[in-house]
Amino acid sequence: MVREHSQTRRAISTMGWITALAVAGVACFNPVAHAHEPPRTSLRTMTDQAELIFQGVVSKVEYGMAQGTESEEGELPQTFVTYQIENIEKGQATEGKNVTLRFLGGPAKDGRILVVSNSPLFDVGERDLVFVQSNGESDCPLVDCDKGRFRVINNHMFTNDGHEVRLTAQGNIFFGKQHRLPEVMNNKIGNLPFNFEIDPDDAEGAEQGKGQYNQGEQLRIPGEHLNMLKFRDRVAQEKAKIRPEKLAALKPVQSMRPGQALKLRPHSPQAPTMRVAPERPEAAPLNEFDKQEAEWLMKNAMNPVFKEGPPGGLKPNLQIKPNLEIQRPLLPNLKIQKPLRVIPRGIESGGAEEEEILPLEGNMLFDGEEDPGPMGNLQP
Amino acid sequence: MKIKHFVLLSLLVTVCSPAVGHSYEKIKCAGITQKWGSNSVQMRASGTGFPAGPWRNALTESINLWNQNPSKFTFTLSYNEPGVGKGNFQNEVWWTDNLNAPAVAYYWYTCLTGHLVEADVVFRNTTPYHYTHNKKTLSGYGGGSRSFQTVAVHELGHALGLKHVSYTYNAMGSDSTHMHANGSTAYAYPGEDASNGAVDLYGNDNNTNDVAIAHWRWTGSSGEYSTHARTRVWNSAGTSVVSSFNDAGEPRYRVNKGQPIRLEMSYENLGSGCKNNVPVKYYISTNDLITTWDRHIGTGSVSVCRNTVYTTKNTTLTIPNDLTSGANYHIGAIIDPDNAIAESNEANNSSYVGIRIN
Repeated sequence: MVREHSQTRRAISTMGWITALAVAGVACFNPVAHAHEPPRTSLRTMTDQAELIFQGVVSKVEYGMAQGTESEEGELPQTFVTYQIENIEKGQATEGKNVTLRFLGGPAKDGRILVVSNSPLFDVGERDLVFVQSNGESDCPLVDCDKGRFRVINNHMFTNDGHEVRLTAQGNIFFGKQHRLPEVMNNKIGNLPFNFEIDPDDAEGAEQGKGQYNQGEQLRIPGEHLNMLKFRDRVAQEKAKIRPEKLAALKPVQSMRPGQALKLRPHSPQAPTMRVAPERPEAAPLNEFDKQEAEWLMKNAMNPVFKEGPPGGLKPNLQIKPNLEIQRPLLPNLKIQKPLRVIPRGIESGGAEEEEILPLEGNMLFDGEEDPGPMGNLQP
Repeated sequence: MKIKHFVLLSLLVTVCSPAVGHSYEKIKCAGITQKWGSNSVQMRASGTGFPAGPWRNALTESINLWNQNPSKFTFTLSYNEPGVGKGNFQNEVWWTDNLNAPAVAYYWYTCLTGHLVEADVVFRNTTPYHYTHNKKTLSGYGGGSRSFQTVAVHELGHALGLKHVSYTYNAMGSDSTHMHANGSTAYAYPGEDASNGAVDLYGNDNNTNDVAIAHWRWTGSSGEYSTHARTRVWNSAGTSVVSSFNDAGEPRYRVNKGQPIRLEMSYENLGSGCKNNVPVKYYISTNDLITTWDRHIGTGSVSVCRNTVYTTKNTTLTIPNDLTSGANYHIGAIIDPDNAIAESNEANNSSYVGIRIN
């Protein structure tokens, strides 16, 4: 089945939305600003991994079916997104000024719709800058899937879900405030509107105006909201770091069409594997109070409120040695308090022993900066 | 008034409104909110990927974490599913090595009836997952492994009908830093905002009490995902964060003996209804396990509804004068320190922040 739709929505111009949001941002005092965060995959990595990077406009969205790869799968819906290419930043497309990318998901013949949690949705007329990888082989032929699609709206760059793409003075890419633009919130799958909606009025437990985050805290948004040309310049800078022979070896990206044979890799069920994982260093041994406290927590079903005091008048020794980090050994797994609604289908046995932990591979850094980690940017 | 002007004005009013209390997103197809037609949905674990053992236990734990939420929705779980696949009208969970993300949820809608009809969750077995609760193994606490349970809770949130969330502390954002920790263990949980979304979709069971403390807070977003960082120690005026350093994967704040400070924590209501003026007691501990055995240094209170996580530093505390200079301690908080609320989970009522005495 092949369907095509045209975009007839968006009576309100994009410019109008942008203007309204900008005015609102100035006019309203909101003590909570959005903090900045770098992309999970650096622009350098994305540029390196992409086989084709281009700016283009979605000219056609078609649908088809293809045989799934698993034993219990029949035909699965596919979405074919055709771009009219405006500028190529890296690589080539076999069709020159057009390329059609194939995504898993879309409307099936029986009326059901398949949506994949990390796959973007496309509508005709949308202008994007996309990082293409493994078209016809991957279920989502973009680098890091939805992260590999940047929207160009009013000549400025947004992520797939509407966050500003910003550039710091140091040349690092950050994602800024999210805008609930119609391009993000309103989509079509087949001929049906498919929208995302925040519905505060439906929620229960409405609070009495209590602040949700630290009142008075102003979080800084660094850099500038990138326009299209500056973003393309930034991509070009990263492309210049790629070895020429690697660029020369790139093959043009072939378009995929509904009905065309796909080289899909299966999602066959496999066993889990325990990979490389360093642990934090073990700390000093416990004193008697710490041991007793941990044991009582276990006896108390992990409830930190003890009805009785420490046994034998035991007291915490607050006069501990300097620079001594005190920790306790690993506690056994918490028993599930509400073993609810589990339907055993086959033979069960008890839990297995913990498996050996192996060493870990290197971590990815963000755009030349060291990953600040889950603690954020700690002060010296 | 022209439609365009009306919409723009409405947008301005919306943006200028007080803090948004609810932030989960719903999916509408053909104008109809998409959710399951039943409040009980069966998931089926692949026999290949989840034989009896720790991975099955971890998946079961994740299912049960969702079943403790205050909505009427429940998952059931069966084991040893022989064959799996997308589009077979069965909700299955399996591992594979071919995914473009650590895990992906595939869901099917019949838009015109407003129903989710299938949700499959697939994990990538080349991701360094671990099922342990030992926090020093987990990436959020300086270890190298991704918590299987936090990812499973996230993907099961999709299977329930929730979308990614970027603008509040949320399991549907960066799941690896959405955990509850006290002592050496850390546990995944759906959290207040995702629970609120479940209640909105499936109704309130009106039978769940659960207040909680976390030492994580919302900081921003990375794509569709909220990002989180650890809660902090502030000066007494609450205007600046005291200096800190990375101590083996966790932050530690430098404070003086006798220094007045404010401890920032995130307080959550994971239950059916609001809990007003719930006492919170603060403690100094020689270790990162906070219990009522530790030294009590102050009392405050919070009012928490199930709407948006309340991250606050609303109580001034004083670092005791008799602590040892150069030594490490932890400041902790316990919500409902008298067990006045009969909760479905009492284990998430305390957490900590590390300090070093100058």
